[in-house]
Amino acid sequence: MIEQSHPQTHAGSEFDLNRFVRKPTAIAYPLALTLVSVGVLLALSGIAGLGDSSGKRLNDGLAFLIVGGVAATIGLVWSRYYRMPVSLTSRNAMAIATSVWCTMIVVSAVAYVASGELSLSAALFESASGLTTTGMTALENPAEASTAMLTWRAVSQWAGGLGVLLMGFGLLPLYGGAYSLRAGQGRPGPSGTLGTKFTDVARRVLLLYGSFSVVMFVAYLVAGAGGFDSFVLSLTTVSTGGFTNRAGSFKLYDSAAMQWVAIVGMAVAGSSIAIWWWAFSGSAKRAYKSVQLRSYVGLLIVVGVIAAVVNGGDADDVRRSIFTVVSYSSTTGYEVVDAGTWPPALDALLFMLMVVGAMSGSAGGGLHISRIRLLLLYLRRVLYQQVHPASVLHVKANNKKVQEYVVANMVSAATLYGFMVLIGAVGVAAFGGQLHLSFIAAVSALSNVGPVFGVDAGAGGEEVDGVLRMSAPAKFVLAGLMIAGRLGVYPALVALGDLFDPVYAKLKWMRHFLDRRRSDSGATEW
Amino acid sequence: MDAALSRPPPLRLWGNGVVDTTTLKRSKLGRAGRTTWNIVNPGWDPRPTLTTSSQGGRFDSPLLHITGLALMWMAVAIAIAAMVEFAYGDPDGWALLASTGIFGGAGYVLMRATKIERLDTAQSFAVVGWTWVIICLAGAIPYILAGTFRHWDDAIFESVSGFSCTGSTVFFGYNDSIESQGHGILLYRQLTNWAGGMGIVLLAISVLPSLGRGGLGLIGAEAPGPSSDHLVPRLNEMAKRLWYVYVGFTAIMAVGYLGAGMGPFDAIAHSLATAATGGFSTRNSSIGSFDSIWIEAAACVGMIAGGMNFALHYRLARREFRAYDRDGETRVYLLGLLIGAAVIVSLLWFDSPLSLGESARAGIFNTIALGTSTGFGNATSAGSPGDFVTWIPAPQVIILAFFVVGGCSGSTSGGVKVVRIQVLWRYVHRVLQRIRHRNLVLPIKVNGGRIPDPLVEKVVGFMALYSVIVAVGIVVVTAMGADLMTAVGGVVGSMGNMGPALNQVGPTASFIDGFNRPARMVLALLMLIGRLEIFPMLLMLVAPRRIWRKVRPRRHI
Repeated sequence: MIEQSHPQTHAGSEFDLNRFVRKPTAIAYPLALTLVSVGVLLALSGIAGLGDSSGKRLNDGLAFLIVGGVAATIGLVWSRYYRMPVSLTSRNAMAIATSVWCTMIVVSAVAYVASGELSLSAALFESASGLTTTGMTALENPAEASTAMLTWRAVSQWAGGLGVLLMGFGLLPLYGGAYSLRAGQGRPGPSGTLGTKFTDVARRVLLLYGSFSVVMFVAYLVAGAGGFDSFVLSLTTVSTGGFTNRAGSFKLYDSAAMQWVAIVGMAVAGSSIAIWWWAFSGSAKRAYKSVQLRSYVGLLIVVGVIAAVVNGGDADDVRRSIFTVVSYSSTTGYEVVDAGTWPPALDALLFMLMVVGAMSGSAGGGLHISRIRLLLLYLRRVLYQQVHPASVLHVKANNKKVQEYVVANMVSAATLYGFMVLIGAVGVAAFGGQLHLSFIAAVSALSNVGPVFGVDAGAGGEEVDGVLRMSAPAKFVLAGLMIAGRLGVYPALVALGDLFDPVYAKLKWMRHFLDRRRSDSGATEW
Repeated sequence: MDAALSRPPPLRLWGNGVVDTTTLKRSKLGRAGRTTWNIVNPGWDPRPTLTTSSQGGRFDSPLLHITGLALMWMAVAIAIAAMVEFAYGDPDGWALLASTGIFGGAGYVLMRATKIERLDTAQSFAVVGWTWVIICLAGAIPYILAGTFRHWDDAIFESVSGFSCTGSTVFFGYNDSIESQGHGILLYRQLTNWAGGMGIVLLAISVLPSLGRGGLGLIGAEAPGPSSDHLVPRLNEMAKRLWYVYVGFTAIMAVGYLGAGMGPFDAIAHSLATAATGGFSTRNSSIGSFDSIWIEAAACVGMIAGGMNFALHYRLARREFRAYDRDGETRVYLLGLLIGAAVIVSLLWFDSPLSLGESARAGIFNTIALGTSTGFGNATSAGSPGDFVTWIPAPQVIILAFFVVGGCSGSTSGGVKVVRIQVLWRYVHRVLQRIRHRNLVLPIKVNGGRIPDPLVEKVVGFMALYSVIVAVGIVVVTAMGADLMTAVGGVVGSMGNMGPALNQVGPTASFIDGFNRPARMVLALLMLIGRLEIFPMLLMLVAPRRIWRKVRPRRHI
């Protein structure tokens, strides 16, 4: 009977690979590849840590090496049984995006737990924060951590940033998440992509991202950071991550040269990689004319000037103000000052910067400049249509009409963002967060920024990193927000929806209660 | 005159089903004693036809005409307040009487000097927006003449807070307590709440003969919520009936409060604020000063009813007892209040030192007071269980969510209204479903009726505008020196017409404690924007430009 259902297998024969090769499942092969690459990077970080002298630190390196090796082996073996899917539906693309991130985070968390340094909640939190390029940390003092740990924290952010770019340019076009990256069915998107084939895209992303990392490494070296610090800082700068090797983020790297390098690096990391591709591939004019780039630069300049003028002080203070603005706007999250001590209006502005986020097409998080721009145009249209109800207008970007469903996607993404901030804030507050900190932490996590500014009343007014004091369940909530924010909300929800479809069907009686039709007297007139 | 001739002939259908929209205008150019109909507006011009108030004057200005009517109604209200002030022997009777004269005189002159000839969409936004601004500014005159406040802008704040049904107060900051004011002033304060609740423009047009389609635009621009429920075909009739329901509801509430143990003056004053879901009180600590569970229960019932669609109350009065059950929005609203109260009470009970009784009483009352955007408080003093700013953080976040949502459309409450949340949810749901099923066509249905896409766009755009204005408001208010969380609560609360807000401006505090003078003016502006639901307040600036100049339509945004 079983043999009949698999006609291509030879009944009764010895081991036959075909028997195990199922139809090309969309998720399996990308997951296997993820396991391999994360495993290899983890193992390499472990090897980097083997040079540590003391036994406890050496332990970390060994743990990372073993976990990485096991993950890579499993991935390698697994990948032999599956093929790369030929075509993907948008649902599959979202399922891939979600499961890839979850897998990476789980592997990394296992490594952290195996090293014995972190508890389960802290390990999950640190992994999520690293791989989503957020930069909140559960380590009291990173300077005491082992080399392996520090290396992997930086490398995980770098890998997360790379994953975001690959997802943005390779997978996103499949479901039109960010309009500027959308390449319909085999045709170039409205404002250009890095190519129409995934392999081309991947090669170009790697080239740009890799060379940017190298440039940043050299720049940090020249600015006077040590070799290891330069390595870690360059990786976390280009990925808009925000992990550093010291407690208090960037505050202890108090050198003007290093901070200026970081400012430029963060600003570049927050800009679209497509812009740089155009700039280097001979269409510099197109890059220069990008409306999104202009909005981004304009936003940085305006808010930077406001912050510098309001805060005042000497050249150092001005630099720190600009640093903070660029850090929040690019969603990197390095801190050189405690922004909670700033005037409340600047805090409010920083809060908005976190919501707006970086350019789409970068590794940065947030709603993205392009979406905010579309949202404002959309609002203008809504207002105009109140006076001219019969008018038919199109939202335009880069002088081209934006499809209506893309506008709808963008509007509902912003809505979902708002819902998630609220739910996240309730979650964090319910598990013991302060009122204002829970809001800021929710936005910071959802936009993958990192810092949680503001004075924690529970700490008796002393400046304590708000996240460190949060309870384990609150950290779980924040980790969930980071993942949702990183994936752009939709993939996580659609994947969840696929997972919970049977449950949802069972809940139909509830929808029936809420949406019950009126039998008589007619429906409400609209 | 022949009755048949005073009415325009019916529209004729010309071949191919084309409707002739030629406007006919009555003129006396023909033979003496006979009315002739002249074609004055040939061609395709879909503008609504002429309407005129019976008392119309010379200048064509719907704005001033309706403002004049609204001022005259307010003159009646202030006259009542003046009589009460004299009857109780309180000192400010003459100030109120003088205000009556000012309101009545100005209103009468405006009304007699103007007429309504044309009323299109843009103008109806302008009418509603400017009328509200003028009334709110004029509403400060009684306070200023009576010398109630130290600054003129405090008088404006209290007036705006009253008319927009917000209920935030600047009393008991550096001023005297509310209790030390004269009864007339207090009654006037409650009456501003009451007049703003159902809408002063609605009140004004209830005495106009007919406004055609433009009148519907007026009601649409002023009434809370996106839907317009036609109770009866004629608009003035509809306005009148809504006001009858409103008066009846207020009377029932007054009897309820009397029965629960309030004095007659307090009962009437609080019933005015309850029906309007306004939240002004005659006491410093609001409902909490009575410290009676029966009064709180009566207030809860009244606030819930005030947050429901008044068209449903009208249907109830028409003995359609299942009207509430059939309305999906009402079901979601009640379910939301129930779940919210349950979560808040349990959080308070489990996570904070309050006992079950205290958390139930404080939690349920405040959920309802803020979930209906009324803003009464049951805190007996600062730090008592009802003072929600001293609660643990989690229920406060939930309360902030209630600040945004508010009550049902067609009610007197503030916020973005439950139905908008429903529409938004269906909209997001449609986008998500469309990702999974690429060619899906899914009409958005709420309450059994399909909502046309332009209206969905309007609702979604409204929500987005709302958040943008809140964000800008927070930046502006913090820039004026307010604390961040106080500003968030104050701005969201002002937009949602709540009353008390978070942190420094809780239910036992005055808005003077948390905000300086310019910041309070910004909040007052936000209250107006929130009460009129954004569009009139933004479009009243463009509409006059459109009337004066011929603006070419845009091709793209």
